[in-house]
Amino acid sequence: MSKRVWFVIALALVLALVIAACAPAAAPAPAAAKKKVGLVTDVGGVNDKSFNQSAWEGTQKAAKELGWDAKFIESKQPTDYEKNIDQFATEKYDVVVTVGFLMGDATAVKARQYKDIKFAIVDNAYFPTKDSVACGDKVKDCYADGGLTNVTSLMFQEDEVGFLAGVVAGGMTKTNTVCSVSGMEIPPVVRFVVGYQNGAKYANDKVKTLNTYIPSFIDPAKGKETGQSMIAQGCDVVFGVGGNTGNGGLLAFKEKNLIAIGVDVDQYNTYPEVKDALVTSAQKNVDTAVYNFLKAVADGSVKAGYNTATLKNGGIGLAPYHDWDAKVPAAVKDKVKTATADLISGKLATGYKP
Amino acid sequence: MSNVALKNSPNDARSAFAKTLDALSNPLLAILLAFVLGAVIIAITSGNISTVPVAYIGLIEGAFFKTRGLSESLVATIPYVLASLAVALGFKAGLFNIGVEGQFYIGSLTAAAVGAAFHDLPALIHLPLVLIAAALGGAVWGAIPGILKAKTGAHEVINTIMMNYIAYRLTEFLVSNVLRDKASSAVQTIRISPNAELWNMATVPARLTDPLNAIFIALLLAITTFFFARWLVLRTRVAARFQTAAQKRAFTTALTFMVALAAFFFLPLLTQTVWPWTDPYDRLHIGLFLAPAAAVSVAWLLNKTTIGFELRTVGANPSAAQYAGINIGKNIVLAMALSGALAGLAGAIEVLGVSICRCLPLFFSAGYGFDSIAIALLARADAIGILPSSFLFGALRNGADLMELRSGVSKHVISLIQALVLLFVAAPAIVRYLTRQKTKADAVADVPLTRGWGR
Repeated sequence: MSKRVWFVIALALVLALVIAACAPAAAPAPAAAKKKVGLVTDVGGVNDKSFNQSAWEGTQKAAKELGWDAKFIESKQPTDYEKNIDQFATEKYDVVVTVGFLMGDATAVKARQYKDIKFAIVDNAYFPTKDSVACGDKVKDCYADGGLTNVTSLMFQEDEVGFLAGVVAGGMTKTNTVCSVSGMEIPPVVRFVVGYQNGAKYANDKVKTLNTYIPSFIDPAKGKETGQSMIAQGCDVVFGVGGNTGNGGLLAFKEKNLIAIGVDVDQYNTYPEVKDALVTSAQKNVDTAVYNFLKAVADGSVKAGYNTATLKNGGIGLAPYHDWDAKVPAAVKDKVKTATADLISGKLATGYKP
Repeated sequence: MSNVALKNSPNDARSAFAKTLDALSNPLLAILLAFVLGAVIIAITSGNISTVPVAYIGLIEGAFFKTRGLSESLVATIPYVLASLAVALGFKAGLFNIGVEGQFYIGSLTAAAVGAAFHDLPALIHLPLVLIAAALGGAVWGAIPGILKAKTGAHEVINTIMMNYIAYRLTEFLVSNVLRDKASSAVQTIRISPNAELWNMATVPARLTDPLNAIFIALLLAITTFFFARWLVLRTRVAARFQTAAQKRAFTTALTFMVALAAFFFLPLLTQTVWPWTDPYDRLHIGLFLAPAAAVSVAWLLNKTTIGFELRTVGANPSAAQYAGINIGKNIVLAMALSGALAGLAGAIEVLGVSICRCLPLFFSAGYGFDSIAIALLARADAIGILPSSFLFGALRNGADLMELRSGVSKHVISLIQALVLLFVAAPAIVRYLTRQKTKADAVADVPLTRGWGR
């Protein structure tokens, strides 16, 4: 019996070899080698309806205009980050974009290894820190003398746009209780939340704020559960700040016909399931930031260091009210306009302290 | 079962070989069939048959041939080996431990805590301490469902699943509060002491320049040699060359000391001059030696010791075991504890050797504990068979990225192929039918892997 089995196996192996031999011989090198850009997402994945997705859209848009190749790899767990960046590097990619604060260490390590590759990291800036893998405290500036001369950090002033979201929430609440369902307690999320709470208090001095950090960006069930418990505590406007986890919070409020505020992108478009409840979204234009970075790489004007998107330079802002346009009182809209102007001019501070 | 080869007497070498081939033919055919079906699926979903070779070549290149490709496959294999040994050990005792993922988390949590608790201990003490602590942590987590089953008959499947959730939430809580590194803005534990790290392969020569580390390695090698020499003089043909037990003891002792001394004096020197791992960005670590050592130890425990015999007997037929005077309850708890210990070790290894911060961040594992169930099934719960099956899964997991990059075929296809492999292994009748093998009378008499509900 085993003879026949081994014959089958041998036959299959031969077949495999034949197929392999017939394969298009190592993809004929295209004329003047196209540049290649790779995007490494965080565990949220490229369809997270939020910032990973936005980063990928920006990458695709730039790649299309520049005639580059663009590919992405989704990370499954934190120990994958290094491996995934390496994957692009060994495939001779010219530019690598990593999405998310959590990828900070891995990006720095790989950027030092591959000096010829331009890196951009969304949401993480490097500062000298004791015992840090990314950038120890022996240097003055991580980018200039810390060896990260090929890294651009794409940062966002989340507290500003969070503040505006808070102004809307504070103005819209009927129960004087606003809340946020947040992801992991990392700086970009904290900036959003602090800004939001202070914005709500700015708009409405009677307002009570609730917030829960859920240590995950990929747990919509937990987000929804948390949202429901916040409804039970009298909250009627929620801000979902945590990728898919936050989306769960939005869904809980949509189901009870309450008010929700989206995050990162205009979730009216990316998460239509909750659009009836969605008054606005606190947008950080990751797509524009990534797009601009890639354009800068293309024309050679890219610089190491960090770029911060602010209300002033238009890199962040509230999304349109869409269906809620008629339902948002003019007073609230005016307050948002005043707050925007005052934040830009510096007359108003969001109250976030790093 | 597939461990037939082990049971054969050495003088029947040819037939042992043939039998090994027979035992291997089913899993190998299963893998082959899965890949063929995988190719069909790739061709259909991509609408282009030429995607198939691009995808599979990418897969193979990514898993073996690209820079650091093989290393990365091994890095993924190491936790798989330990985690699936945990599942397999449970199977052998008739227990289905689905709690490996939770025990993995507890192991990594313990490792992170104990690794960061001391900063002046030498590796000689700290590293074993961390590993033992992690194994104990996993053992406790595994033993709880074991005790519940032994005392109350509560089914381990349900309790281990529930213990998983407790482990996840406990880890989340401790990582984001008690153990959190306040200096870092990331949510992660404090970095462990460099002495608790599992050495990266590239750093081994540098590490060995420290005499304490050299003693550590010499000791490990001496212990290995001791067991090897004992096996040699007691179980192999070499035994005939010695007349008395005293001679055998002398030989064993002498060999052990020689290896220890040679390792202490020459290994540091040797690694300075010839050492295949020089790439500082290679993530392969000395867990590479630990994983097969664990597999051999488990095989030895199960097949050559009284404890193993009792465990297997309880697994194969509890009623017979009870009649023979074996304490079933004790063995259930023991099996779950040992299983948990192995899973805990898997978690520790990832913290000590792979995690970039050498600490425990949130969301540490993407289902090593669950993949390992499939691996243990593929290996038919055979401890040695787990080594190649883990490597298959590790290589697939690692090669999948390059496959996706090159061909645009989603790497979820790999999960599909893994599932197909499992399906074909679990249902050998399909493979036999497809390859037109006759069903052998004795082939049906496979021992059930676990027992059903109740006792």
